[in-house]
Amino acid sequence: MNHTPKKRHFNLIDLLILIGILAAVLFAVDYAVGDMLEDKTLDLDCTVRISGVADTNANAFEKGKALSVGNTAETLGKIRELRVTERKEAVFDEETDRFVFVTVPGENTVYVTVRVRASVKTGRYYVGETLLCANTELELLLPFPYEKAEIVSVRKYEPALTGISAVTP
Amino acid sequence: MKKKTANLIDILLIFILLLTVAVTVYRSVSIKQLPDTVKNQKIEYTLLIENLDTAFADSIHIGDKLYLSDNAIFCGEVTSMQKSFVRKNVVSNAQIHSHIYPAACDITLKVRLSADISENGFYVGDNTYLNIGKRAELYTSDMAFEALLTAVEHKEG
Repeated sequence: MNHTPKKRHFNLIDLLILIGILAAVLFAVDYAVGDMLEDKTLDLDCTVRISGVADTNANAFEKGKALSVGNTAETLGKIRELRVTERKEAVFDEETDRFVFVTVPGENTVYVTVRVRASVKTGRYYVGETLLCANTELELLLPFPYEKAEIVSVRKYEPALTGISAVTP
Repeated sequence: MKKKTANLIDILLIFILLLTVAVTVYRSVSIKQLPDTVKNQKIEYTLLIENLDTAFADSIHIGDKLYLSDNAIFCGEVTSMQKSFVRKNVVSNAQIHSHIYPAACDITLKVRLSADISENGFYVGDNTYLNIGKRAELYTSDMAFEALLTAVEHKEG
């Protein structure tokens, strides 16, 4: 008997299976690589306030030095702006009958601004696994102890509106 | 006539379809809302951020989009903002006096949203109910904070 092989047509089910496989592959790639499909990155100016820096360590900060976080081992970026101020706390002054800011002897507050290339996920900014938003603490990698490091400002890079001068008096 | 038999791929496809339908039905049935809920209303609600370090206060702006920290649920857009310094009680001469504390501030935000509402609150996402008096962890693109829901106002149109 002479059998001619039946020509196989590309049908709807094949198409559905292909779409399914494609979706699975895209999902796997996205899961593995991160936000590859979203791929939204932008430049931010991130200002960090480092409290409780001893006088002897306050000069260790320099423009151009990298600022890194310890818990995720990410480098945020290079320091572009820097301001060292005496640490001040609000205390009640009975003489003037109001709260006043007084200097804490021997301690400094350091403001540093770094330019960061961040990715955007669910409306938030990240460098690797490090979340960048104001009112969050960072565990900075510094060669000396400090009390606390907090992000005080995260802004899209705009020369006139960002940096220390925009967030400190 | 050759009898057509269902193959493994057909069975898999039918299984996936059934599963999708089952999940959809379950999700819609499992959304339990209060009996007096009115769907899709325009509201403006008020959030109070208390005792915030003044250094962070400039990180919230009118027009910012708000999200719940849990599951990144959209919670509306900031339409107005009011800042005031925190007041602290100080004891002097056996009397308590309230004084302005310049290191911290309270921020009142008005947020606009379309949501399903009930008498004392509203739903965000599928089934997350925010009622007056509730504290929620929220964020904008620039800042994270905890806020107290103090009022919900129904907006016409």
